[in-house]
Amino acid sequence: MTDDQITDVLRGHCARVLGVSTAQINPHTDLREELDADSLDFAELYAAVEDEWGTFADETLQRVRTVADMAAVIRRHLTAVGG
Amino acid sequence: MRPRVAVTGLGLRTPAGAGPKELWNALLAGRSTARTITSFDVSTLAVRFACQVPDLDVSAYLTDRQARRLDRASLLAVCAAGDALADAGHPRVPPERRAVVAGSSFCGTETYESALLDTPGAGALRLSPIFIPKIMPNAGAAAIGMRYEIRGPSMSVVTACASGAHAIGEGVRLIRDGSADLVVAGAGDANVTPGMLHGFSRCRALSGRNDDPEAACRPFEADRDGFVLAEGAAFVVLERLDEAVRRGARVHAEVSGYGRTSDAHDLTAPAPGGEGARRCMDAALADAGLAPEDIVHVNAHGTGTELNDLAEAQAIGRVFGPAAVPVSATKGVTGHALGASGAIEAVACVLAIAECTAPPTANLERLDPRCDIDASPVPRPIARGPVMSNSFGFGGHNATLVFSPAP
Repeated sequence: MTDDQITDVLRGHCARVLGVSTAQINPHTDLREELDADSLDFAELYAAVEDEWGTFADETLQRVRTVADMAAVIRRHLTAVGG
Repeated sequence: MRPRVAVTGLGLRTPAGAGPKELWNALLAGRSTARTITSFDVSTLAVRFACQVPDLDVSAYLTDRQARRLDRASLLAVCAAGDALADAGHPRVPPERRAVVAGSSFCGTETYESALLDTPGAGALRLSPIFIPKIMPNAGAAAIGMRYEIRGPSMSVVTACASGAHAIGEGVRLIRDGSADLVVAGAGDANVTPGMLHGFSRCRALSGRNDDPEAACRPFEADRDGFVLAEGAAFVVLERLDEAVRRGARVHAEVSGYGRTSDAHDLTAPAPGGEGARRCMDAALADAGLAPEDIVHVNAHGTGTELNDLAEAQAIGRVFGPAAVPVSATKGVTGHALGASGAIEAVACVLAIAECTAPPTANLERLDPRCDIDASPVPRPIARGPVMSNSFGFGGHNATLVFSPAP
């Protein structure tokens, strides 16, 4: 999966969970500050990520603020598992 | 002297309509709202009909994102509570002096069933993180509190089919003891689901009249064969009567009495002779400082089950004497919205006082001769006076409320 593909999938999940259109989400949108994402929203996003790419260690996702942050974590994960 | 408690706002979501006027007109018409279910596949179920709230639109109350986090029971509750506050004119009470008491019988039933029913085993579960906050029994109270900025007491009451009446009664106590200046009290329940229909059917509690749903709920009727499952919500706004009058609020009625007892007898059957129900009505009368002859109308729990109606009729007879007071059973029209029913019927009582009318009991063609009560299939004029509402829940939880005309 290319980085762009990962980003697109993530933007879709963010839009669904946060109730906004994908146009409102670019890779560097701060999900907490700009889109009011709360802890439950992030729990939903992480669940979607895990459903898509498998289970992640909790701490790897804790500092995520943007789609780009999340995509980087996923890219590292895929590289580690050889995906 | 303890403060008197006024009802200053009414809000509803019922199968018979989303406003007091719609509910009242449906009750007067005496026409059941039970229909064959089309919102999900009922082909394998023994009972295939219910009373459902049509076209629930929450967009005026919640954003899509807020709504997605709530089960249907909580959505109904938030809408009804919002309408009650609007009806009360959004009283200017500091958030810290506002309270909410929200009842339900179950919570999150739709959420539960849609997540779990088709799942082959725990190992395959992929639950959403919003599953837990949607099914918690306090979700309705929490949602109402967040939406309407209620920062005082916030509680949930779960006493099966008495939940709504208990919620209003406990709300009355918060006003009386000075814990709050405004209480949003009531209940919301949404259990028209395959699992609930199946479960209640297996309890032998539901009517099986699949071919004639509108005739299925027959409270106190000789040919009754069980209750009709419904959903809905009703909330009232409670304030100190003196403060409500001072601010020029429209006072719908006074909550003058509240009784609560329990049977300590059986998980589903009422105590023999309706003993717990009788004590509950006596307690509510004592709380109101009224005698049985002061009550002009009783809104019965009247589910249309063999056991409830017989026990309740006996209890009413013991309190008031044989056929001594006009009795109505709202569930003939609305069905049985379980935890919400007592709150819906509290609103029906307030409307009966305003209209000086005891609404008919739908489908009452031939009164069960063992039920020696004064029930009628047509509306009847009543004097302007106190009205009583009964609610009894599985587990033997009993609640009785007395509403009096606004002074």
